[in-house]
Amino acid sequence: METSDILPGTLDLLILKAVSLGPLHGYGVLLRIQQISGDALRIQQGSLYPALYRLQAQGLISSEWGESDNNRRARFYQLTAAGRKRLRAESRTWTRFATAVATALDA
Amino acid sequence: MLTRLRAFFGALLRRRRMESEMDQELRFHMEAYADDLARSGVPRAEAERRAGIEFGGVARTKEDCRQSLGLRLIDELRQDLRYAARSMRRNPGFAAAAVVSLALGIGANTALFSLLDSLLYKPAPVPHPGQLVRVAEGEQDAFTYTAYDRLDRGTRLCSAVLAMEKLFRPVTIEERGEPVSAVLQLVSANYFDALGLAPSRGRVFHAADGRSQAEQLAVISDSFWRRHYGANPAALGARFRYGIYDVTVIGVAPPGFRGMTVDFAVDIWMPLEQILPPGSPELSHGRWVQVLGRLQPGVRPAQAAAEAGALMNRRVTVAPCGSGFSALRGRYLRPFLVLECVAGFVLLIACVNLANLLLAGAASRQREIATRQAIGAGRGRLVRQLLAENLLLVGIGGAAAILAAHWFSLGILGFLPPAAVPALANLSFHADARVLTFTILLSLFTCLLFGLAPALRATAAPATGLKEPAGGVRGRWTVRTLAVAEVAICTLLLIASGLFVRTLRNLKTLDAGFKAEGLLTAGISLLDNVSPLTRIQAYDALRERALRLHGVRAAAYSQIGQLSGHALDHEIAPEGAPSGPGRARDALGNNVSPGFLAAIGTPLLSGRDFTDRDDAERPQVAIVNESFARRFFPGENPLGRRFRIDIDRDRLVEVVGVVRDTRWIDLRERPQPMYYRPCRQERGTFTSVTFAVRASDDSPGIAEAFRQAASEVNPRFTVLDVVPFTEIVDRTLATERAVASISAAFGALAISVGCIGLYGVLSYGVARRRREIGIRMALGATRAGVGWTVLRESLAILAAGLAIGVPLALAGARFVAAMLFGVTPADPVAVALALGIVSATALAAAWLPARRAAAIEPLTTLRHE
Repeated sequence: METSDILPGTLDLLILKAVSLGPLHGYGVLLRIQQISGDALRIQQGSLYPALYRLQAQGLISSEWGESDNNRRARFYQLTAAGRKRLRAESRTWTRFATAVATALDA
Repeated sequence: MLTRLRAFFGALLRRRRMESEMDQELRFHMEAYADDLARSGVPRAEAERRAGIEFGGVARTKEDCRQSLGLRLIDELRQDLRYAARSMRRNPGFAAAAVVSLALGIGANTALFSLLDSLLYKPAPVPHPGQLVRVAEGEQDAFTYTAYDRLDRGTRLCSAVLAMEKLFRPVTIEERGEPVSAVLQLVSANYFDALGLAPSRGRVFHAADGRSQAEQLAVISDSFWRRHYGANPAALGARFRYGIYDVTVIGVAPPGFRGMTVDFAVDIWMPLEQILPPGSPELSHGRWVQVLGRLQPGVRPAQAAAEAGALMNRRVTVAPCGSGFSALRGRYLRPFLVLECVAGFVLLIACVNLANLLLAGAASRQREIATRQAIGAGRGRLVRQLLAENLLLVGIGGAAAILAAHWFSLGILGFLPPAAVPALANLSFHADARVLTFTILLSLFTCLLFGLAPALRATAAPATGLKEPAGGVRGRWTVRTLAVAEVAICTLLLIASGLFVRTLRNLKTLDAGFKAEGLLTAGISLLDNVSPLTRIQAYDALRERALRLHGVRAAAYSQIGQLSGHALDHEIAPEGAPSGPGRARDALGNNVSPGFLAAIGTPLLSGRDFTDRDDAERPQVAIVNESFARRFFPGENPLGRRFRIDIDRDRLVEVVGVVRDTRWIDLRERPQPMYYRPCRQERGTFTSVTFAVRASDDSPGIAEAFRQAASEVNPRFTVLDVVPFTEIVDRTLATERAVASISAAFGALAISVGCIGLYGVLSYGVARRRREIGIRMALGATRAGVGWTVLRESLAILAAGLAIGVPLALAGARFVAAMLFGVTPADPVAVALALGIVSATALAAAWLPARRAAAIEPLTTLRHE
């Protein structure tokens, strides 16, 4: 299986998508992204948390402390209303962009 | 944006918690990952190691997280400040000098800003002060109550119009038999409603209260309530006696409100309609109330002026008055502005000096800065670091400046004459929001002014710093330019203070036409309801009694006191000359007792003095001064000539004596035509006169003896202000003395700061050129020659500074020409004095560095390098 680094700027979008399916802790976000991309996308673990903090500071996701599966304290992130709106808008933009690039490459 | 700010401040405020949560979160991540690895068969220890490696630098991640929250800037600032504090501790001498000079410079400016602000701009603490307007007729801002009443009843453009007593003074009220001094102002009964003020306790009086005579009401200020009643709620309903009135306190005005006159902080307000019921002559006679209106929203002052003019039947102007009335404003505005400029220059010189010291410091830190640049510090970061050091200096200096401003303010207000003392409560220094904002903005501006240039210069040349010995030719030129600026500003300030000091001297040594030494003055009033003649007889009795006091050589009185700032203008028509209005016909008039002119020391040039026999039954007589004789009887002997005075045109007054010109209103006034008349021949109420008592020795006992005599002659006399006449003269010079002393003090401050600056520049130059000087000496330069090069540098700086400073001062002096007396703005003495002082100081500052240069041993220097 070939994996690729994600494009700059898309990490935020992927995180939003990941937490849109339910509250997740940071490690969970990482796993979820790998899972939904069929392990095709690889995320630098170090860049995940700054992105989470940034999104939270922007009010797109919120967090609270809870218990993880193995009963350890973990911070869980979930999408806010603003985050949901942003996710929809960004997904549309991304799809348009990806289609355009694919069309151009196929030509 | 809001959420982002909340996240930022949340993180900032709960920093410790945020950090520990971040730790916990990252640890959880790695453990969870290690668990997963272990589950897939990797040994536990290996799993943890791999988790750590794959995660990468934890510290780096944390730093990135902090940056996501916007915390990095704050962290760096904190670092910068910590570093700055360390480098300050390394060089405490410099830090102390910088902080002190900043504190003095910023403090002086803050103090003057606070004064100017409370005198000019600070809005009165009432709702919508911008709607308040004052009504005036030309220069005159007092009206009869009747005129006010017509405006108040008729106005449609003002939502309310109020009247207030113009010349109110401290009075004595009696409370349970105890006399209490308080500033009492009579105001129209709608005063508080028109201003929109609600009481902090009790109630205020309203227009309806003015029509009831049942009980005399009073509202007291919060400050009086605290000072006199100890903030006791029982003050409401308290009673006091004022003259013939029994007054009840009904309320306390809101804190901070002391009336609408800056010059007097009011303690007690009483409705004037209660004191003066309808029909009182005072209502229609005498212009004694000031009129303040509140405009309806959207009304322009010009429209209100037209309406008021029609209602009051005179041509009036209406101007914004949100900061209240002030007579001091006109008198002190210009001096305060001049002092503000001087203080500004002092701060500027402190800035230049600091910039210079920082430049020198930065040059010696060039190696450190170059090293930091070499290992990757950005220029912005370094500039920020250097600015943070300045910010720390300015922060401490600014905080100290608030304290300094308090003292400066006390010092400046200490120069105010006693007449202005009631204004002190309104003018004294309060570090309120406006003042603090000014101080902070000024400090930041100062910081940029002196800090930015050195910081930019210090970080300018990254490549060369490590290779070359510090400093290039450009650096030295910047330093020299700043030194030139210092010399120029010093020259400017010294010339200005020279002009002011000489003005004061000229006024003090002026021959004003009287002898101030040994003269005692006292205000005597007799307010009883008796005829003017009875009053004059009472004053004459006191005059005779005073003449018998031990040591008294002369005692007399006049209706208007000398140098009181007041005078009565009358129109004169010499007998036989056509009469008509016009400035050229005006003369000052005063009514005096026999012996008055001799008592104040004004010599009689010809003719005779008045005697007790010059009374209403005898021919009308006058004594005139030289200017009067010159203007109205040019080229003639004025004795025996007659003239008419506008108050009674049917009466011809004969000149029986001529005296020297005197300064009557104040010392700056040019001598004006003036005539004196015997009190007994002139009409007037004579409720008060000013006594002049000349004693052979001015022992302090005379004042007490005179008071005693006054109460013996008539217990109903009120005796005010028994002071040596020299003090009256001093009072008229209060402004001049304040400006001269303060500008001289600032000048001295500037020159000492400048001297230190120049010394710093020169000795720093010598220190840097040690090697060059050593080589020169080794090649045969003499010690004298080396010393001379240093002196020559200081002479060049001096010459350039003087060449800039003197023309600047001469140009600037024209703006203060009106404040000068007996000197031209280009006064050669003041200029020469300033040149002398600046040159001497510059040479003194150069002396030590020059000697140090001459003492350099070529051998040690060359070996040392």
